[in-house]
Amino acid sequence: MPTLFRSVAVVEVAEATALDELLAAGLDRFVVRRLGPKAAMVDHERLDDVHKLLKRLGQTPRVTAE
Amino acid sequence: MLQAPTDAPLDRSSQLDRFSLNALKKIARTLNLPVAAKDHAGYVAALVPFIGTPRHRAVLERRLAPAQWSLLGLLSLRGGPFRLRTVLVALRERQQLQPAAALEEVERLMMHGCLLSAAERVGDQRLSIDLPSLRAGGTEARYELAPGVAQWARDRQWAAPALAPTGPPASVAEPTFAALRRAAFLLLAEAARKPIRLTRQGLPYRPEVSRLATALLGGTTTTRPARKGTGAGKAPPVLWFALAALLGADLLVRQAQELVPADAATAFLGAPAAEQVCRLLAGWSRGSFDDLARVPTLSFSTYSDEDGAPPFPWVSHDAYDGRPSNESLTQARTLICSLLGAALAPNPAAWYPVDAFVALVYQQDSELLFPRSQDFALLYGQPDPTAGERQNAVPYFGIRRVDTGVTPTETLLLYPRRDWLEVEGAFVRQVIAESLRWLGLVEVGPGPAEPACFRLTEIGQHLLAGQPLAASPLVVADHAVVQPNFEVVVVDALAHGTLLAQLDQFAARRSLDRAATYQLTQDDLVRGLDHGWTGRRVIALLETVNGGPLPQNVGYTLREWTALYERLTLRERATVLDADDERQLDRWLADRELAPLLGSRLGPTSVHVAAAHIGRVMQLVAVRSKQKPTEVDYSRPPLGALELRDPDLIAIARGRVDPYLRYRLAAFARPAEVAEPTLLYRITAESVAGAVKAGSTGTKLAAFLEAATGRPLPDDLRTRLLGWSGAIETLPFETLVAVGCPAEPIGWSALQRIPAIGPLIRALPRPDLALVAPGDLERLRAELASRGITLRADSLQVVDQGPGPVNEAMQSMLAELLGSPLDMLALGQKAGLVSLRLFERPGKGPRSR
Repeated sequence: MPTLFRSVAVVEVAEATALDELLAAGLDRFVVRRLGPKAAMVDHERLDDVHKLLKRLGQTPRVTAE
Repeated sequence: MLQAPTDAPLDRSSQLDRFSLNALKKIARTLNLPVAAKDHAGYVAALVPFIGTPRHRAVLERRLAPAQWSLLGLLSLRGGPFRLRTVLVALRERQQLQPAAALEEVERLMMHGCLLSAAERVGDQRLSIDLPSLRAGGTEARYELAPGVAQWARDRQWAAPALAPTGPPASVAEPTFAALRRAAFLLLAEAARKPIRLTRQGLPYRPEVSRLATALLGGTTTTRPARKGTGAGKAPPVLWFALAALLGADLLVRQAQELVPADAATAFLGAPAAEQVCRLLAGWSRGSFDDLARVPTLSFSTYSDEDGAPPFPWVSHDAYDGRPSNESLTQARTLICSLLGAALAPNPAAWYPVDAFVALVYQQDSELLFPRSQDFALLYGQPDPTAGERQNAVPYFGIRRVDTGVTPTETLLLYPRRDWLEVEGAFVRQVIAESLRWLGLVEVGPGPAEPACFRLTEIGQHLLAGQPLAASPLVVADHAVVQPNFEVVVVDALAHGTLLAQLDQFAARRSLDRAATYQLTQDDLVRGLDHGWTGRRVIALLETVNGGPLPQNVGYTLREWTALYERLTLRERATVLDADDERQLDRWLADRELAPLLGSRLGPTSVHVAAAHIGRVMQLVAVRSKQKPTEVDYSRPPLGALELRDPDLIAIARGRVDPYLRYRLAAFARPAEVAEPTLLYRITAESVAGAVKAGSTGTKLAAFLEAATGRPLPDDLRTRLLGWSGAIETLPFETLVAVGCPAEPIGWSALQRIPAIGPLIRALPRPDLALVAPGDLERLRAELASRGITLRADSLQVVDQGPGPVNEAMQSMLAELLGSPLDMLALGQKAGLVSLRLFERPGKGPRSR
């Protein structure tokens, strides 16, 4: 049955290798589920930690509400 | 010409509707207007198309005397509503009319349709046109000129006030519009960056004032916090002036308890200087800036700010503090501007003495800010023989001369009839020397303080005296320099308000004066990109204003920062639709109706859905897949999804399993044996320790489980979670000996009061049971033996730990012993970390087993 997930946090990258690098650098512990090669659902209750990690990794993500 | 902005213009119908039927009949009869209707609405309908028309003017031209036109011309300087008091004072002082005659004059003008009521109609009460009604309305009743009358009065070459020019001063203090423009820009920029929080009184909070003052004084804003203390408590007056003008001009608007820039603010920043001045002039006129508070020779008992600080230049809303109201200030400012336009029109470019202009204002309105004639005398003409002396004896309320320390107290008092020039006259001077100079409308000489003369600037001549504005040189393009060190310098900054507003969105402002300096930083670029800029737009704008390509390193870095930004997106509250399989999603993405509603494909079976399309997508997916999709909202706890089983099992119904639930459980529990139709997870010391290592806590885990089950955790499970997560510190314990003694004939309470025995008893959990340290047992035995009581070793049965007096006493005792809540001990017991055994003699306990 199709399922609609609301209020989820998603990390999406332009290239698949970028996501692999992020996961290897520590993002994996926040990943709820990998959606595909270039997207992963992350823990929406630990976004502060996700932001801190990305900042530490030198990333300046585009942050959108939805 | 500046118009009074306090009252929105009303249509003639509603203006006439305020009159009673008899009043309307009088007006129609006076104007020789035949009216067929007999009711109120009919008269209003007949008068509406007549008032303010050339036919109305023709009647007035025949009927009104020059003195009446002169009065109407004088009232036209008000630019809006005025009080009856104003008309009566003018008639008394300019035409020497007694009150009754003055009221009759007002009555005549009303019957000719020249004066209309500007008061709100209360219920069914309507205005009559006769002396008793005018008197009953009081001197504060508000009137306004009928449409067209102001212009007709001016066209009649009424005895307009005039001023004689004077020679130019030795030196000139030029207008300071640049300072105001800069303050206005910074206020709008700061409010756009972060809304200005307001107090209940509608003023910015002190930290907000500090922030604004810091931006104004230092000219620097970045995403980093300002240095502590910079600018705090040093808000310059021009900041308050700009704030009041922007609020009055509706360029800053209130949203709940915050100020944000209005949509029109962007157009304002890019507008020519004359348009900006016009907007700020109107805003200042109706705004809350208190020019009187800026008069340096006056002190105000009610202006309470820090000791020694200048008075706070903001209108007071306290009706009892004697300060001019917002309405009085607005009317006074409007009159001053109108008079400047009228009196200086014959020679608008000349220099004029300030004192002569102040005297002119006095001639037009001796009650500029404060009334000084008694209402009764104005309306009834029965002056008290001593009224003049009494009035002279009443000083301005709350306003005094500045105390220099050597002046006797009584000479600090100021009186309206004697000292008008020092108070209201000083207000006029202040408006010219400061407010109108800030607005760029006048220049003064020989110095800015206490100027002797003034002259209208080109913009002043245009806005106040109606002179055409010389064409300003065309601005070819915004001009800026982008430097290799990532600095952007905007030359003639304040002439390029639009560019500054744009740079403010993606660069850090470092300084703003004649030139503005911005720094291009990655953080600020990201801020701009977050607000809708694209890297391409940023670079295109910078190249345009730079007049050519950017320095190579700057262009390269901006593109790199943009690429870094664009290669990673974090959606914080997204909606994701999962198909059953890859082929189903392929079909949806090929569906002409459904595909346009879907966002990017995130994986083989997942697609992003914009919030705006969720409803329609759900409908279409239900139709296409012939079943309603399941919805999981992660903003809500998964209530009822889990079932907890003591001591360490968590069960999930298979139908409730979703990725996030699995993820959360996997963080602190291990999959256990499968038992259809449920999945089981087991918490272990290792799994909980792993979760704690990853940043969680026992309390958070317990909270999650309680939210997911909707009920308190089983005691053992909770204990294990908290114990394994390290939430419970190691508990102290001590071995004690329980000694029984029946309450009758003598119990432990009595024994404890014996000085030799009391210190040996550690606690009395029950009246018939004492706890004694093993080392004290022999001494206790001896003390009791010396009193004929012997002890024998015996085994007592364990007492039930259920609720009851024993348990309460035990809790109290243990809390005292351990210095920590009993809860911890209870948890420790359950976790098997401590053991406690209580004994009593057989058959004596309330619930022995």
